[in-house]
Amino acid sequence: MITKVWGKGSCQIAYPFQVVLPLLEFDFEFDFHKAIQEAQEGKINIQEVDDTIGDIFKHPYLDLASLLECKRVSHSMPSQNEATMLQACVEECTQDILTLKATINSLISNIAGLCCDLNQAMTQFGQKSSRRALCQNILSPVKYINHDVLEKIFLECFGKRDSGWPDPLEPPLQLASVCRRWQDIAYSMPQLWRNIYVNFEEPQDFGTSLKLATRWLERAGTNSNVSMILHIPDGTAIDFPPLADFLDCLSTSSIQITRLRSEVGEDVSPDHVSAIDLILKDRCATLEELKIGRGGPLDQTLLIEGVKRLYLFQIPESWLATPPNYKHLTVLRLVAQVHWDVVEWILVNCTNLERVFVSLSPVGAALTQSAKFQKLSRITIRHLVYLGIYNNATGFPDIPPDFISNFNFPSLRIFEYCAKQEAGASLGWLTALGFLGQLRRITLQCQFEVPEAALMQFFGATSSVEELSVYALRRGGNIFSFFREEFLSNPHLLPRLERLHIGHIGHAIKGLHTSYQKFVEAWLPLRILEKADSEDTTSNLRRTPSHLTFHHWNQAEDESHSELDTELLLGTKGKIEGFMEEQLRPPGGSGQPLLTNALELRFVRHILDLWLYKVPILFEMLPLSLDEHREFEVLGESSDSKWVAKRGPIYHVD
Amino acid sequence: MAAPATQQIKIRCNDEKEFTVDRDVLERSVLIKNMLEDVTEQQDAPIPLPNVSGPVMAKVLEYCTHHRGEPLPSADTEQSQDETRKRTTDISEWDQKFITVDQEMLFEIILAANYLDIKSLLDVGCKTVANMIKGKTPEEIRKLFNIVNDFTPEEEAQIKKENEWAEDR
Repeated sequence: MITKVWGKGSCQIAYPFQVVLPLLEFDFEFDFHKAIQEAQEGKINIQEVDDTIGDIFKHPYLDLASLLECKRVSHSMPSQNEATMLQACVEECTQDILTLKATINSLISNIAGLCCDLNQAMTQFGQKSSRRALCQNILSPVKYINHDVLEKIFLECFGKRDSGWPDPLEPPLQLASVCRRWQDIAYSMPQLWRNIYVNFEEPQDFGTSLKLATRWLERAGTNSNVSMILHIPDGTAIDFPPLADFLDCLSTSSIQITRLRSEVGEDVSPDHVSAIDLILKDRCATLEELKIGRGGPLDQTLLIEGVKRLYLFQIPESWLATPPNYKHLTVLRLVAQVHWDVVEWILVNCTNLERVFVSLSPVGAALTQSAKFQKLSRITIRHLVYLGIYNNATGFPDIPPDFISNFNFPSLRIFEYCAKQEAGASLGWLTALGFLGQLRRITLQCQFEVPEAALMQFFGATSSVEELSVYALRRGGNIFSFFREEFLSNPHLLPRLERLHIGHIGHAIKGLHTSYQKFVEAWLPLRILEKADSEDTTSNLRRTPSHLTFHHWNQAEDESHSELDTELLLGTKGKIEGFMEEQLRPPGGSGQPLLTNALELRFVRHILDLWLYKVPILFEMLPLSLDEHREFEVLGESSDSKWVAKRGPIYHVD
Repeated sequence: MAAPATQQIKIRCNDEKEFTVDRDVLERSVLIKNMLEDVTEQQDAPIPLPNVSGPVMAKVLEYCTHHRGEPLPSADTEQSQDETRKRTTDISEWDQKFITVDQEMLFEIILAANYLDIKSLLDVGCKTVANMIKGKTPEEIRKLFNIVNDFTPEEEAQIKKENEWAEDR
């Protein structure tokens, strides 16, 4: 119940409790509402309600709190009434303090007792929990799995991790963190610790990083095939004491290293790759795979599928003086500034090589001949299947012309060659002719115009090739002159060709659209030839490539945007793919493709798929009649889908 | 001389439970196969299997019956598989259904497969456990298998340090 009390012209609220004042014994439970109501109705005079209340109304303070608040900041002496109130308050507080003190003492005593109880309960809780865990552990069936089986489970967990970064949530770290038994078993399994990663990125962590890597190396023992990744970023100073320990440890166990991948920063100088140097010199006799590259983009985007960036760092001169001697090396990927001598040394010394990719950069003067082997008999590199050679700067030394006369690659089937110079004139280009006859897959990248005679000579030597990719780099590269109608219809050139990829890179190549169109016009009739050919298996006629790809990269100024703008994929049994520049043609005026410019295509045996990505040009460009095809699929991006959406049952718009 | 495929063999588990099973089914177990080959005369007494209980043996026999007739891996192929094969935690649909049992039974089957030398069943069991472990934190693994963390604080600190190193790569 709330009782309203008037005083000093304002309305205050007091709660029903007993206020004891020396002069005033006043029960606030008095029903003021009723009294006021009666006063308003004129039944009583409020002053008459109670004399005691009347005193209160006259008094400036309604309660002790108001008095204290007022007097707290006032310098005037309290009145007698006020002094009495305050004195009463002092006495009351004194009394209460005594009571409270006793209460507090009692509570403190209780708390002490409760704390004691709590501690006891917690201790018991801990004991019971431990006992329960122990019982559960004893009952746990995994406890009775023997060592061998647990090892097997760990191996299953480890799966096929051949390399990769350690992860606390993945084996082996995850398994070794469960309990001591699991840790012991995990540590006793060298195969779990065979992927070693050393990061030199943060100098302050070198010590820990190397210490832990050393520990992993120790756990890897002597019976594992260790895969090691060294991450050496720019500006790394390797002359750091813990490195010596790491290398010492490595020297005793590195004979088991089978894969070494080094990520070397853009500006890492030869002096700073001493770790790799040391490892490579004589500590990797079992090395099977060696990949060395750097972490920064070159100023060139190369057009080989999947290789948009090449990475480079300087190989120490000491490598030239002491070539590696890896009898087991089968894969070598060396993206570095490397003299051709080194390549030859590697080929000679690594007799089991199957795949070699080297990126050459200008080191020293141009070679007119292979210096190291001119007096030797021809060297056979028996197992080499793939050879990729990239020349990454204009006008620097190329493959020596006698390379082929020095070497014999009986198993070589795949050759990738990138020359940033006039391709037909380069020594490497001509050198490659020496083993073209045995190749199945050739990828060529050239700069500038390529003399047609050189190209014809080149193709004349590649009768066995099944997949050919020819890309012209920017700055005026143009390959369409090669693929003229005479060439395409010549059955004796590239008779086994199954896949042909041609491409450009550059901002604007004049007449590109016309070139594409002409090419397609020249190419498509060959399909008819294919049909005739298929009925006569003894025919010497060429097989029409089942895959034809156009690539056109519209390289933006920012390298990171040098992606395909558009893509056209015209598929048959195999595929004809085209990558077109978006700006080649604007969409048709009506927003609909023109499909009437028909040259009949005889793809009747196959399903024809047509994928369009932002390419509103295709139907005009391709001389085809869609009505001939049973199925025709158009995949357009949403912005373009409106113009391909409605074309009867032969269309499926995604 | 090899016994006919229809020959019935009796086995007795550690809880006295007995099974009478076709010999070719039982011979999925290399242990039993060797035992049978060592016995020249036909015996009526059941083969005692002191390490396997009746319910577990019933499951094992279900597996063996389903896979009867399949070629047994030879020691050579096993070794070469271990060396060259990429391990995979893929399990066939039937096996997966078969091995969907409670944890106790799962480990009992693994133990039985190990004891009876049934490699394919052991593989299935181990792969199942590996799949259970995959992607879990050590604490989750402990909880899953009721394993007590018995590392000392110093060992814990060492593990933490190594894990941090891995995380900071």
